[in-house]
Amino acid sequence: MTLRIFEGKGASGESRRPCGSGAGACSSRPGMTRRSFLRASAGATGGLAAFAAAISPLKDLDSGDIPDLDTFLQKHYKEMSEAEMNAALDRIRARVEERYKVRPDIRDIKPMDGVEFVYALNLSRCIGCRRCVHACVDENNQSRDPEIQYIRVLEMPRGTTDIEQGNHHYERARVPDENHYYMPIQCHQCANPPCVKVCPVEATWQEPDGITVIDYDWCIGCRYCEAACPYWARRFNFVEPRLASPEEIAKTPDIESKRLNPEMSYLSNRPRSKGVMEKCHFCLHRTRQGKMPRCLEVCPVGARKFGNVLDPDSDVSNILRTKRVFVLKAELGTLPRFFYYFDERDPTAEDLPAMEHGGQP
Amino acid sequence: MAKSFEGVAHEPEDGHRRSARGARSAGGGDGVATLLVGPVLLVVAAVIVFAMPRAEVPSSPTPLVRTELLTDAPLRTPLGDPPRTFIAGFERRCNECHSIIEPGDSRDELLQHQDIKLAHGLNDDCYNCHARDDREKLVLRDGSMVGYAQSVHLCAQCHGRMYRDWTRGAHGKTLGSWDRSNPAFRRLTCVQCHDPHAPMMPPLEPMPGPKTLRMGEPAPADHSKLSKRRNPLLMWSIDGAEKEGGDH
Repeated sequence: MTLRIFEGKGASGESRRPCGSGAGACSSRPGMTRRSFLRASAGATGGLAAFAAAISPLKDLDSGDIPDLDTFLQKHYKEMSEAEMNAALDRIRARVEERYKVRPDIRDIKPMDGVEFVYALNLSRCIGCRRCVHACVDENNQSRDPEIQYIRVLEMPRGTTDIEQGNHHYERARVPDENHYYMPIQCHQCANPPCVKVCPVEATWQEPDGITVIDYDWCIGCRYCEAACPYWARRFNFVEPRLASPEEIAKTPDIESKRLNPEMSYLSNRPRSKGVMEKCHFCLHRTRQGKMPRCLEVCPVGARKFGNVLDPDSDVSNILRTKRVFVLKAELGTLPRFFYYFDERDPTAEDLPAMEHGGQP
Repeated sequence: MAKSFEGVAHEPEDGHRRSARGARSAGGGDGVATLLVGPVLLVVAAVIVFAMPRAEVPSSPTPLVRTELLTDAPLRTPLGDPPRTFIAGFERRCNECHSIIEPGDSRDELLQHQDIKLAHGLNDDCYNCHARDDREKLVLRDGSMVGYAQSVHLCAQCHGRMYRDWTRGAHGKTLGSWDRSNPAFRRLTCVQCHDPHAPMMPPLEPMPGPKTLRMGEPAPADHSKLSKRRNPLLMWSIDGAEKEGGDH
């Protein structure tokens, strides 16, 4: 483009051939004047300079940033054959071992038949201690510097469920605070997920067991899903995720909480790379093998409940049937699989006279 | 830009005076300017390639987390059935002493078991739960005795709602598996979380808050102070500044 401007003007229509490969080729032509030569060479230099500037980010690449041909040609999760998946898992194993010096136990764990996962959380019990937040990070290999967390615990003023009034930066010596209640928010695994609809490359989708997953190798990092999610559940890797290798931890045991969890699966907690989205996936590498999600197991007050909603005897089915349950932003029609509930009011001093006449505490 | 220049150069006999003059004057003055384009771009490129500061992520160091807190172990280990306890450094069964000692009054000062501080609301009598004559048993309201492993039934007499929710899985903690038929499925009992003598859950120190959204800047203790700086509308409005002190 630049070349043609100069050529068109300088040669005043004598020569219409573009001056392709720099000054040398042009100067030998009979119509070339000193002026047009200088213009053309200036243009060529500028073009080269612009090109050099445009590709300059490449100099920041690490060796690990450039995918090998097989990784580059890797298919979408749903289109991979078993052999291709095994090859992909081998590549991931090698990459993780090279980067974090840990041999991962990675598999592709498929959903179970007749299972649809649902989460329930008892707001009357949650004390906002943030054990779940950090157990999740410990389990799911999120970046530690900068820190990525899937669970956001909101400290809410009593008397409202308007989450705009919540604060997730509370710092207290002890929780709970008597004037607040605590509302943890994470991916709601919607049955009608806006994040899936907006993905331009179908890198995120809903699995048969209700978990919305991401193929981290297919994500292009456009962050549309982050904008679409009404629950602020999606997180973006602005930089290469950083975790500590075993040698670093051996040197400074304080940073043990930055360790890599070697138990991983393709769609859940395998290490991500720079520029891709991630989010809560109900610990599918655990739950698809019958275990509980890590955030539930660590909860010191038992506020978190998880199970198969297709089983009428499961805890979550019972909760949905018998407790007072609500979902966040129900008016959006996202149909979350994450339910909040609360218990009956605890008795206070005013209730004592009634209780003495046979009422129940 | 490029198109208009090209158009002018290729239609010299257009006759439009102003555009023709414009093209000529640009053509006359651009001798030096054109020569400068290349070197200037070269310098810009050199700055971008060699002297551009690397973008730093403005994050503060991630607070370290005590991993021993991230455990799924129950808060308490209740006494076994029959219960054993440590007295003067020796593990004993209850009745080894209590078969000799006459049962005292509930209001008496305790000579043993001084670590027990009873804070169970209205329930302030030892013999409401403990059997007076067999200390390895618990006593229900109807006078029947149950072992320590059946303590759930004792609690259920008063805390019926909680018992109901616990049987349904809405209260309490279930570990191991979400599937009842899985052998790992394990439902904790009342006393694996609650101290029966002081059942209220103690407040806990919260773990570090997120550094994810407002990277680099420490969170103020009072969140309401933030809103003025973050919301330009509040920053300039007079009554908004009054209101934004907020009640939360």
